Amino acid sequence: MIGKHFSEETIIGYLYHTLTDARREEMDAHLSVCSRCRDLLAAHEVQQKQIDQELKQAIKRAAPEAPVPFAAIAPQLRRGVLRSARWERLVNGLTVATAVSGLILALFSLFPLVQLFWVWELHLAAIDPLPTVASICFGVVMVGQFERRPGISFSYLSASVLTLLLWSGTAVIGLQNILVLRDLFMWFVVLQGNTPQAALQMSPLIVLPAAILWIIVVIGGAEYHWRRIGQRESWRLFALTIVIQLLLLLLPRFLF
Amino acid sequence: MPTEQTLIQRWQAGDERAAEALYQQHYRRVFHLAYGLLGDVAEAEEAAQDALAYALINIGRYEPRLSQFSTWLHTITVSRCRDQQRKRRLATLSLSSWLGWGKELAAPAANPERRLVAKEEQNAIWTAVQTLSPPLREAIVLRHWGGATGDGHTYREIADIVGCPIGTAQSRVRLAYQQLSQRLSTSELALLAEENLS
Repeated sequence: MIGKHFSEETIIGYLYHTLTDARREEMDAHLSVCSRCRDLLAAHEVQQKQIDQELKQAIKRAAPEAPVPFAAIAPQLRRGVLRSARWERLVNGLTVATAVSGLILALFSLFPLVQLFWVWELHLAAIDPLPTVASICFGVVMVGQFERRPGISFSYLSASVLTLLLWSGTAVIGLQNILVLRDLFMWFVVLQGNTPQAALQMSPLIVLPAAILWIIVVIGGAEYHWRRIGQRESWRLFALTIVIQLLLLLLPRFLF
Repeated sequence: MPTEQTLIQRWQAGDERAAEALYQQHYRRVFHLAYGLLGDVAEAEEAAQDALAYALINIGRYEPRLSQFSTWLHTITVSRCRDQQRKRRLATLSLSSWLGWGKELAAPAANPERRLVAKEEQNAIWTAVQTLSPPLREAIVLRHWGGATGDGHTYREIADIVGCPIGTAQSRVRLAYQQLSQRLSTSELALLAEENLS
């Protein structure tokens, strides 16, 4: 408000319904007592009406000079549909293949690390390339799907399969992340002057909360993605998850 | 008469008559939107034809849960109009003008006679709309034209069509109106108001 009156910008906002409810109510109350703001609003209302009418008339007045009949574009449509279907099949096939490869790599990379769970083998967790490669596979799949939305049932089915693969893959990589976190924690404890055995005994301090967080994220993520199969929000969350997981996997490489 | 959704499903199943029906149903509206954004009949025709062909070829990508078919179609139309504007800029850019040796950039390529006739027909408001920057022109045209009722799109729809946050759509409409308001002289508005009242 300028002095006792509303600014012209606010009045235009009122006219175009862009103000918040509270601001609108405030202005309604003010308009009932202020003739100056009422007049300004009325002037803008006239102007807005003119713009609305003239714009509509000008657009409606225009007519295509040589409208293209459907028959002229029909061959283009036939060719386009055929090409589009082929391309869709190719992209879907490659995407599913990459996601499956990512999942297999993630699962394979899990086995040796599970064996190392109870021993002090920090360097092995840090150099294992499989989870990183698996994350990159998932990243490629996710980026490929980012702008795509499921349309017909086949696309919806593909999106569901990809969502399932990405969800299970990120869950497996999440387990790798717990191991990396545990190793980083133990490394930190050793740096403080403790023995590796003492560090190992203290490791549940990080593993337990990380495992609880993992369970929450896996269950919560399943519900979130299930409700948003093929939607931009779902791919966005996968992107965020994969970036965080990749950073965690790469963290030991930067530290050691 | 089959509904729009039925036509879409039939075209997705390969029925070309359904595609033709969709084309006939939407051609004029798409053309009018393109004309509102480009201000040139020939360019609007080209953009409308491109947009409809693209939408029909890629009908599999349309998701009814997320938007109305017309909103999706208008998104494609806006994109095609931007392409036309880009082409227009490229066509008028010459080396000498770029180096600053020649005259100012030429007016958008179009038939001069048609442009003259159009100018006579168009009023001050329409001319002022054409001088707005493309994002503001898109916002004000979409706000006042089209949509489910024909009285303009909602801010949510505008945001979806032009690909921006809803707050940006609102501020673009406000800014476009403010600029139009400034560009139109008071006398012209008074004259228009008088004409409207009489």
